[in-house]
Amino acid sequence: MVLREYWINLCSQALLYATVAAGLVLLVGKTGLPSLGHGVFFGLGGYGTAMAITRLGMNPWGALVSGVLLSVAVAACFAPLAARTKNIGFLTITLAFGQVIWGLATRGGEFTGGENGITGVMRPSSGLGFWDLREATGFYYLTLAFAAMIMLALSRFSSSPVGLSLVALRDSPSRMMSMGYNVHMRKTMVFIISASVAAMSGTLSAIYNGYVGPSALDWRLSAQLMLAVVVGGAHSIWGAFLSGAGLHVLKIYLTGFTERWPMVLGLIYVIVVVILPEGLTSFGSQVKRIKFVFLDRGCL
Amino acid sequence: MKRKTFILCMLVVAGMVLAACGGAAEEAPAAAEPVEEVAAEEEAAPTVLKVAVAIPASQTDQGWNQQGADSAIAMANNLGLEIEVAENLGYGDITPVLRDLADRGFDMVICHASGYQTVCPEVAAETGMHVVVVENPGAVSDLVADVETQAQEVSYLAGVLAGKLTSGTVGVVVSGEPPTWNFMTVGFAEGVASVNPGAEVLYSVIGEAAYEDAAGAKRVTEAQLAAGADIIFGMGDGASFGMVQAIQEHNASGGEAWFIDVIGDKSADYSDVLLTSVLWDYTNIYTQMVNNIGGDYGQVYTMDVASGDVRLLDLPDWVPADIAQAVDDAKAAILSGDVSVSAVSDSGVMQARLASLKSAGSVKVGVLNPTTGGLAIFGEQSNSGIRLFFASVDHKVGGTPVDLIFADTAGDPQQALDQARRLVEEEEVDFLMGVVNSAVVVPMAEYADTAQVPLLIVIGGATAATGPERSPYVFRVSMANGQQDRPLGWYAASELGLGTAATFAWDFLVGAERADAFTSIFVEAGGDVVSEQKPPLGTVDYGPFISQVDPTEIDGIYAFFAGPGAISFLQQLGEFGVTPSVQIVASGYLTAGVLDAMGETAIGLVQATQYTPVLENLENASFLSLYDGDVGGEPGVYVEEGYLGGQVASAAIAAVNGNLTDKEAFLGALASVTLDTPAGPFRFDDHGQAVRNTYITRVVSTDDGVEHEVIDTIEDVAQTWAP
Amino acid sequence: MRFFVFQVLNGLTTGSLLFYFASGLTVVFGLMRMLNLAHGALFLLGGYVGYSVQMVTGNFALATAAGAVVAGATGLVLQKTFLTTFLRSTFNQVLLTLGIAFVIGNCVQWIWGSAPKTISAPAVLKGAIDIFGIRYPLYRVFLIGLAVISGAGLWIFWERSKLGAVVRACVDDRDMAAAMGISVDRVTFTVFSIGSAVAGLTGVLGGPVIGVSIGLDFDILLLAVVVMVVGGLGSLGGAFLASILVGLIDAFGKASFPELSYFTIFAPVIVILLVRPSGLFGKAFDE
Repeated sequence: MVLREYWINLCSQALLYATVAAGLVLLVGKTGLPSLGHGVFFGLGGYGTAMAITRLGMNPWGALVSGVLLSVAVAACFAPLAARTKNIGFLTITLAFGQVIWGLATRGGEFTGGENGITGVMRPSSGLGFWDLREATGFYYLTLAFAAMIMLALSRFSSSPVGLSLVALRDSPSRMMSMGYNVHMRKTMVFIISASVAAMSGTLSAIYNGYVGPSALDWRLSAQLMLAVVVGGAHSIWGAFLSGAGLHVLKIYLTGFTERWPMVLGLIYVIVVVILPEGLTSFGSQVKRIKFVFLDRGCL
Repeated sequence: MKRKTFILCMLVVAGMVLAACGGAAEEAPAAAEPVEEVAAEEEAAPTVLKVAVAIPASQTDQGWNQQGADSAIAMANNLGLEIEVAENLGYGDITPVLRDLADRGFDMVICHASGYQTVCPEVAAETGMHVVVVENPGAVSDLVADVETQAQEVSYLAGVLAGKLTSGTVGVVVSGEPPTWNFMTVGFAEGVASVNPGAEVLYSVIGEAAYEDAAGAKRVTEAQLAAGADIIFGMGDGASFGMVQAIQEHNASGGEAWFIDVIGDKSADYSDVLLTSVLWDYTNIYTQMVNNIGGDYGQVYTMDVASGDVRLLDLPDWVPADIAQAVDDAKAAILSGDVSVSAVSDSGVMQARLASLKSAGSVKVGVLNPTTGGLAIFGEQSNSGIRLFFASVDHKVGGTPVDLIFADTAGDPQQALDQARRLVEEEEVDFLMGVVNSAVVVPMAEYADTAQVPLLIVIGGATAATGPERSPYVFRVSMANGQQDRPLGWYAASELGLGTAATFAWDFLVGAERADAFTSIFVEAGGDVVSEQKPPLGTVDYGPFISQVDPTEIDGIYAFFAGPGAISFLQQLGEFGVTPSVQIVASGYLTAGVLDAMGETAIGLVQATQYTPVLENLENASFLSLYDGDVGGEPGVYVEEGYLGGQVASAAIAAVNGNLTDKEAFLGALASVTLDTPAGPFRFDDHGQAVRNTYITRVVSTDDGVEHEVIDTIEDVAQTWAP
Repeated sequence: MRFFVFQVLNGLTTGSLLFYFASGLTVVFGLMRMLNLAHGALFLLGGYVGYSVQMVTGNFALATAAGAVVAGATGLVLQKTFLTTFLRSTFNQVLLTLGIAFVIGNCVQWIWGSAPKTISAPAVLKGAIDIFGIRYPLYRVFLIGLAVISGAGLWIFWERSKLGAVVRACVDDRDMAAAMGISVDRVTFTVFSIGSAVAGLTGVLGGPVIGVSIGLDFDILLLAVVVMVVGGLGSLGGAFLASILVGLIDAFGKASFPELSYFTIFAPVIVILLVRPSGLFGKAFDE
């Protein structure tokens, strides 16, 4: 039934964005580095795959790998630079860098498809007879498996000594340095790991859509991912995962629901920050706080 | 003497007794024998013929049997022939009867039942007697003539009548599914659909060969009446009486339903429920057959609407004059060939055709345009044009409601794809319209092809969409990139006399395709392009680019920009002193939506456009008044293209009776749309690209500000136009 | 030679606009350690208000003032409502100001519609003049001149005046300034409002050059980010020089390598990041 297929497809898409958001938690939440350029690694994964398939005639599996390699390579080059900064500095650098990549893609002429992006990115059929990726359910199982693997890896990582050290790094880099940790290298490494997750999702997204365009490199995507991290509770991988999926679906419906959707989206950003800075996990405590402020203190 | 008289009397008595016993069954022939023999001897030439008609049921059935008999009798009387009706012969093997007729010297026997179509030719071959069969063209020979009845066209007329009179539901009741009935069922349904596509057509079969099952017919008819049918088209033979009875009883208890009969004329007894009948009158062809005996007898004789052998029984007085006129008009249309009625004999095909004529309830259209972001102004205008059209037809096409569902692309192909999926897969729209920017066109065309959803592009010029590898699902109502720019190049060189030019176009797909198209024809026509400036997409400050061109070295500039970039371009041309000495030429999009904002900076601009409000034609006049009444002021090209898209879509929807389940049919309907539109005549080429007029306009100053005036028209510009 | 002059002037025009815009952004950052991503929306709002005022009064100066006032007032209101939230973590700032930017931007579209608007230069500044051997639009020359004057004025204020010193103190060391009795909050408040007003002003000033249309809010914001990265976050002098630099690179880049034009703006970013990540005049603000 077509209706059910639509929902399955939507879930596949949502899973991909959710995974990117979860990966971003390492960078933003745990290490405290706000990035407005993270989306480009998602997009680069997609572009790498798309260009490999359509411009270089590569087979789909090789193209997926190429996409990831491209994105990670770029991340590896940029990460050491970015890691030298933090907070606003980091923000502006990642934003500027994201724009450079975006600019390259839109001005890349025939090779990158320019404004139009790249179409004709064919989905492979998986090679295993019974598992057809061109079917909605088939692709969904792939994304599900992918998401599960990544989430497992991320959880293991964040509870590992290295992962735990990231939180300490955010709280007090100077102390970390004085304890002999190479803060710079850790930041670089986290950056690359986050980027890799995004890259992998991006490659799958390209073959899901059969298309990749400059909007996959847009800073707005990065902003939405950051929002997902914050809504989910900043430190929580699962929180970001669920928020990432939810925000993606919400945006699609919101866009269909009203022409004023940018305003509604903006209000969501504002409300989340003002009322739920700790994310949805703190909803309960926030309600109590508001109740206290308005009712118990007698100011209405 | 007494003894001889006695023996003579005895002989006579014996002879009479013998004659009475032996010739009881063949009284008439026995008595007639000596007369006939004399008659036969008298007519050595085959002019006074003996004709018989064999019918399975009663001669007075006011239906099939009576029509056959009455027509034969009328024919015989006209020609002065002998006629005999052999009725109530049943549906089995009538060979003995036929042999007897042959033995008795009959020249032609009309075997008036499809069940007789095998035995009659056999007997004909055996006895040398001419026969007439029905619905068996394969049996035609020197001795066998076949009657074919093309009743579907008159059934269509009955359908037109029913469609116009019904309050929403009509019923078809048949006593079987022989080809004869199937022809009429389909014709009737098509007639109904042609005037009332929203009407429901119920269809019921009484039984496999239930020609005489009046009780069953009554039951089935009652069910249809209960379901709301108020006009019943019944094909039954004897079974029809059951249908009529059901209607009489229904009307007696407060209902108001009418009956349309076939073949015969029941008005004598049933005028209280009889609306009309699809009358079959064989007189004419029987006459032809008799005249052909000894000549070209063995052929297929066809009864149809053209010959008048099949016709509607005179309509009762209470039928309104305009509806009666509609029926006459439909008949005229059929005869002239404007309307063609499907001839379907096979039951399976008939069922499929009925299904496809069912109105789909409503048509859902998904409109994908940017309503946020930098292109919002264009998306909004396009949407308003679409809305305006459908509002003007009350959101109905031929009775089928049309729902518009809008979605925002924000000019982003990825968002457009996500929204398209939502529209197609969740909202289940029947087709898509949109999209404004070329960047969205290509991925959207690919999606339309994969999802097999028709896409009607109302603005968005990427040439690939209607190029050699175009998907059959994609059509474009507006012009492709370059389609206007080529004529403009020719016009600039030949008519404006521009020798050297510079081109300014944003550096992206559309700008490149358009500037190149202009350049190619401009150069071909003798011009010279000395500079090609390519500001990045969205530039509003053209300083670096304008300053690279020396106004004294060029006669003209070709520009492709739109929206705010176009406004500032013209403004800056003035500031840098390039205009007014250099002539600016551009496509209509340069000023679309922003002419007023441009004001005086646009004066003197020459453009090639597919539409301008100052066009003078009927469609444009009504479009302008609609727009003025709705939004006020004058519509720009984006609004008009949206409106046009609505017109084209609506024409195609009407052509398939609002039923878009057969996509092939809808695509075919789209491809054959030819219309008069506010922008002039419209048609598609064989790649789904519109072929339209290109108007050359100049911007002039008027009391109300600035306006376009048309200075030339280039007609029938296709995407492959050359001077 | 002509080419050179043209592009220099073009670059300086762009640079002037960038400077007005970025100056507010960078000083606010210095004071509050906050990157106000809604700055572009204020620019847009000011531009549209100016358009309306010019439509009604026909007066350019009045339109400019109106744009500044409305934008400034909006900035004021935003501060009152969200100040504490502004000063929280970095992501909060980013998301909050971004959300505000989306809301303002969409409101502008709602109120004024989607059609692009034009603002005409005042009659006295219309037309072109002969300068350095070419004919160049007078209004743009005016903009450049204005930027030079206001740049000088700002420099005097910043370096030489008492008020300037107060602001500088707040930027350099908040706590110390507070300890000295300076009402840091009041200074911040005022500077933010003035910065917002300047953004609105720029929207109107830029009208005759780039028009007033939806989407400009983020277009200019992104350019300003480049300026800040190159010039150094929080440095007014850096913003001035970086604006000129970016403007010139943009103009020459577009004219000489139009295919790479977007890239040529962001290329300086890469260079700076490689060579001097904190910008030309930046200090280590990453606290």
